[in-house]
Amino acid sequence: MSKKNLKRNGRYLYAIIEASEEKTFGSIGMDGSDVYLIVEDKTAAVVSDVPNKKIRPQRKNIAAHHAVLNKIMEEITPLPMAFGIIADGEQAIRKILADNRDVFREQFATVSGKVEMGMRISYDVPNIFEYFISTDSEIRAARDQYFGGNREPSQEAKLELGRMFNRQLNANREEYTNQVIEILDDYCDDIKENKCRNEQEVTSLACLINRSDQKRFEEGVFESARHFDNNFSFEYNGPWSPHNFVNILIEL
Amino acid sequence: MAKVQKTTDSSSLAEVVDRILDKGIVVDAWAKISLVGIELISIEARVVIASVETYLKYAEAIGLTAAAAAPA
Repeated sequence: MSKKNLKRNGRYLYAIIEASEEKTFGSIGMDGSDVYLIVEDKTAAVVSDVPNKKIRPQRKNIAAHHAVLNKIMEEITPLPMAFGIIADGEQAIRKILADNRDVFREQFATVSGKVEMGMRISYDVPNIFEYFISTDSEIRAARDQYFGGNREPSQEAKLELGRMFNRQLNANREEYTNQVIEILDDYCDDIKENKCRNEQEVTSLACLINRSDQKRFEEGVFESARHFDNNFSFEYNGPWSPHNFVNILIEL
Repeated sequence: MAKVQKTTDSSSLAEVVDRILDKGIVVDAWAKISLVGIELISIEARVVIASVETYLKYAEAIGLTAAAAAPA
């Protein structure tokens, strides 16, 4: 493939890493493009050439971005880019690397030799509303009051009941999350809490740990799970690039 | 004790989407031109925002537990 033909095309960015020498990673990028490094003073951008500057967040494109990060992770912990960042060309990337060198170095120091693990707790019950009715007397009493008669409850009554459930759901989440973080703190360098995706979820955490501590982290998850009964389930995954611990917005 | 399960990252697109679409380094001017059709995939990862609609949905669901518990 001639590089000349691609001269005016975009460079898709996957990650920023510490590197002193140019290197290629094979044809594992967007649409099978070659992934390589643009190095500027010991800081490098992991990129591939893409034919235009718009990219859709389709499954295969997201998978390619993820696959490149996984490949880099085999050797070094990268600072992952968010999906869909495309530069005009090599010069623009060199400028970004030079202008933000200190920020990148600071981040390298934070995540070097580390990986991110995900940990999620969910209610393991067939119906979350029935579970709350059976465990929360306040919500049960409100239900009986509003839905006990023959008439459909008013809009206000429904809103009140819905708010009450929401409040309790969040209060429980906070309590359980704090309980788990207190235990996991001993097993992690850093923990970030993410928003829950649905009512069934209790907590969603991202944990930064040493690469070699994955077995230990697992023990921490089991230790946390011992404090919960079988109405809850714990799920963990990883290792990931440290997505939740690299948060840089570069404004041009 | 709660059940503990390890999931491999490839098994969950939502986990990947959560991380790759929403986190990491962003270059503002470059991101805007590249993200076309972001709503296509991010819907499933969207966080539930509590709202009037949500409260009413909760109330209806709680109401159904009353119907289920009522004597036949």
